[in-house]
Amino acid sequence: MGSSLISIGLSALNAAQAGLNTAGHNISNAATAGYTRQQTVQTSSTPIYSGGGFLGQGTDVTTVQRVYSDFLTTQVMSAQSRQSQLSAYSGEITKVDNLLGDASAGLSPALQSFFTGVQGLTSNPGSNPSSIPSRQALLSSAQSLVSRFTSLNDNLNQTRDDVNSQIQSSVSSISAYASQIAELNQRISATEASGMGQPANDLRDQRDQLLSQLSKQINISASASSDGSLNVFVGNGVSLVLGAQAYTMNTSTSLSDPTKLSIGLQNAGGQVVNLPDSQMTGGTLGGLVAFRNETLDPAQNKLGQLALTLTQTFNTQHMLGQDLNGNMGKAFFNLSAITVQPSGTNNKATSSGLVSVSYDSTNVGNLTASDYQVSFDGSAYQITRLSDDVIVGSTLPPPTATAPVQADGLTFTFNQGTVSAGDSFMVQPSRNAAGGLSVALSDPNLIAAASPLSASAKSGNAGSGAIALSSFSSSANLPLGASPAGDITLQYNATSKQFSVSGPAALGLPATLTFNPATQSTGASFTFSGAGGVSFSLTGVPANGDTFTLKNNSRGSSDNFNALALGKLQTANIMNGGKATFQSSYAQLVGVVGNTANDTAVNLSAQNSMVTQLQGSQQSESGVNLDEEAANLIRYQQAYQAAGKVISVAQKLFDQILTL
Amino acid sequence: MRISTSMIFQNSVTSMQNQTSAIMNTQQQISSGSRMTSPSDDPAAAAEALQVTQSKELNSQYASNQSSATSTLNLADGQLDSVGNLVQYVRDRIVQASTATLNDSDRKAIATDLKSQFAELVGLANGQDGLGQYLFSGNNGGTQPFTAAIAPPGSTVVTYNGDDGQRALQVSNSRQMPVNDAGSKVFMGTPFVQATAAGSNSGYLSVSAASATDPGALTGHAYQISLDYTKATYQVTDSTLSAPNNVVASGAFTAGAPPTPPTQLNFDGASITLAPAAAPAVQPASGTDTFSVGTGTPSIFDTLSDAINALQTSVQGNSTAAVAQQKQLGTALANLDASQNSILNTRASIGSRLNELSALGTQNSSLNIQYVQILSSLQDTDYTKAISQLSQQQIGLQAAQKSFVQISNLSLFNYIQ
Repeated sequence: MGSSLISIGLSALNAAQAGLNTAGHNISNAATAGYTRQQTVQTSSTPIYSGGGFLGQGTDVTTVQRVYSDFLTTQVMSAQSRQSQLSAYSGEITKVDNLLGDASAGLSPALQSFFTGVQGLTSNPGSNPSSIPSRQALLSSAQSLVSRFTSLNDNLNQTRDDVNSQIQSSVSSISAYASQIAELNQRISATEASGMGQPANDLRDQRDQLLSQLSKQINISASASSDGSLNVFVGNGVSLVLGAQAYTMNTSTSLSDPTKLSIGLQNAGGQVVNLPDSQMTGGTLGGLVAFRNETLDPAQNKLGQLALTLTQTFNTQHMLGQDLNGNMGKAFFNLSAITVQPSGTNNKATSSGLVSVSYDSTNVGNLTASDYQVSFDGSAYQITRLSDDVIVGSTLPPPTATAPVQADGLTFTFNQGTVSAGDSFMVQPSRNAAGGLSVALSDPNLIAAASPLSASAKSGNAGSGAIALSSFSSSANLPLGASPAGDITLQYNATSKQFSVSGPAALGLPATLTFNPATQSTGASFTFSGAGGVSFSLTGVPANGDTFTLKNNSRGSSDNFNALALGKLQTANIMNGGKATFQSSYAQLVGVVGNTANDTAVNLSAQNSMVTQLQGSQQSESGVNLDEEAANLIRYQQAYQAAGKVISVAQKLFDQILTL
Repeated sequence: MRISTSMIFQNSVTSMQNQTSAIMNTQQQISSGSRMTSPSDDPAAAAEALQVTQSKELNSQYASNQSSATSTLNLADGQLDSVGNLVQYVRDRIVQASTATLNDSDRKAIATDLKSQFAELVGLANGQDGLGQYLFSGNNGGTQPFTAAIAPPGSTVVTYNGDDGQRALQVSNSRQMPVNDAGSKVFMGTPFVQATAAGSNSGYLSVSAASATDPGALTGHAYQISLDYTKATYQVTDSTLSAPNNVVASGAFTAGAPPTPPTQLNFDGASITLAPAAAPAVQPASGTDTFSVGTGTPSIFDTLSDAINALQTSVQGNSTAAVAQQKQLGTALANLDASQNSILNTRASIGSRLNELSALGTQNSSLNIQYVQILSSLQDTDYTKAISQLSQQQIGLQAAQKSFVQISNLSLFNYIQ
């Protein structure tokens, strides 16, 4: 009886000891990251039957368990994964957002000052010494516009390098976590096997903590196997950890786009399987990849598109004017050539030089901010616009078809060579266009501010007819031949109401122009496509025999005809197929990036509070509360004291018997 | 609900960090005066602000173009004002010279005066703007527009070296304001001579050439040439005058078989060449052919040069010459009026452009105010709101700090002895 009571007291003493130890363990790990509070599980010992019923035999500590909710832990992990994604995205987009929107460093002030330079030229285009400063001012504002484009592009490239290096470091930490998890898997299954199936609580905590760290890098899913190890998968079910085996994630230069890093997973056989960007969801890595694809590439392309359209439109207009030396204007800006990048899977020996792409200067407004892929399916080339996966053109390979394909303001030329089915080429017309600009002119005299032709009425004209130039559309046959042989003369015949047109045969002029002042009281416009597409208007009432002349503007030094046309480009709707001005297109870019940045920030803040809430629920379940542990200490201390008393009573009982 | 101790610390720290960052943000708004530190703070407003900024910058560009246009036009207007005064003075002198009581030497004295007026006129017409561009040479701003010298009738007095170009400046979104007037329109008159055969003519003769041989003598009148084949006579009549003083040229056909009509008729500075139709045309034996002739008015230089020449001619004791001189002076007066009209028309056009510029200027400044207001509402910090927000946030942070210190002191361990 007495020994039974002693053993009951002893079991109580042991249980209280275990409770005290567990409380102590909890207290000491209260601040350990990823620690889950533990509790001892006690059951009463199997009772012994006596005639009077079952007599209790004390208590057993059956196990020490983690107070752990798999559901809550998984939720916290996936919320954290999304939080890290948004945080990485937000961190990067803020840089772009600040860069583009900066009141002094953005493109807007440089664009404005460039056009102010053009306007300065319109007020003072002349050849006198005082006009040189206004020409010089235009050249320097053009220079600062170009350097602004270049520096914005450099900044975006720097962001790209930064993103690439972060992707590399994220990928290497994913590999490191994977191998640590695999190692813990091994230890947990070994420990639990040797521990009679009791859970290896602290090792599991460590593994959960690693999983949580991993989920901050990339979205993962995990499944437990019977031996206590966890299998971890990324993307749509690609194994990262299988039991004690971890696979290495690594980065390599993308085959299609050399500026891009693509991510691969090295499988057991040592082969690298490329993971498409669409599978990189969640976590820092997902955020970086999404930022690169959704914001950085489009923003840089858009900036390039703006640079291209602006400079090409300006060049085209500038080449329709006449400089101070009396020559037709030359290109004002230089553009870099478009590089065509053969895919890494192409046959390297044969595929270079098969495709070349140039800007189609007559359709500049149609340029898009997209990249293009040219692919050969074995019979024909297809050109795909990657922004919306629309096929914009296709052609048979030469020599069957030799005409270039024109699409979206680009001219695709296909050269004869050996092309194999499946070959593809990446074309990025706008990606680095903003970085490849330079000002072509350095001599202020070469700025073409004047009109190439001058229109005049003969001084002996009897009627009130007047002629005025409206525009030019090309530089064909301009300047005209030397005056007077090269001049275009219009002579009015009041009877037939027609001008007879005379001029060099090479211009392909119409023989007559019909003009009836009685019905065309507001005047009429005519175009000579063979002579630079000159458009002019005739107004008033010409008398019979009145003569008008179009001839080289040989002395038109103070003419600002073309400078005015250049100035008008600032407010003209040119971009996006004639729907936006340069500034509104830039504002659109700033707005899109700003909106995305704003969305990301709002989502991040929502996600932060969601993570806080979920962590609260999880901690409310699994976290250590020191007050609770203090109470446990007191409880187990008292239990310990009480158990001691039981033993002491048992001893006293024994002494009682001995004294009988 | 069960709370873990680490959560108490973590949540308090997170919430204090959030409040600090909100305070920083408000403080930045106050110190920079800008509501947005980056476009993402209000993307729609940021994009709109970019557009409005361009409109505002453009508007001030237009303002500067307007003032440049105004100063150029004012300069030309001043120059034309002087020309108008000069023409008026010349006109008075010629009226004075027409007085019968003056003798040859008086008129020569006036001629000498007019010679210096001529030089001054050339100087005015070749006027330059502040940048050294010629005001009246069209687009050939670097070329002196007029080379003119007094010359005998029939020889070239003036050459215009400019062109007809009119330079414009962009003074509003939709308006390109012409800022110069070509000298060819202002000073050069319309020295044309045009002849047209009547529809009822026999067709034997047609006009082969019509030109001004002495532009200064052109009258701007309409004339009629009649060829009477029955009488073998021709005459040219000035349609502004009445018979019998209206005949400016007349004569008989050249004798011959068949008789040949005059091929060249010279009158009032004009010269008309008539040519028989191609062989074997035969001159009609009877009937009348008529041609109507229109003339324009000469350049102001030609008028002045011819008037000076006329005044220098000695006419004392020669009544035919005196009558001719009077006629020449009369033509000169009429032509001076035409030139004065042309100058006044140009000045009226300049005046209306200056008016328009002044209206545009007013519009411009009110637009500028609007743009500034829009930009301000898009970008600027509302200080009242921001400052009250700042104090509210401060109170919140202070409360959080204070309560945190108190809560963190609460522990059961404090009571375990």
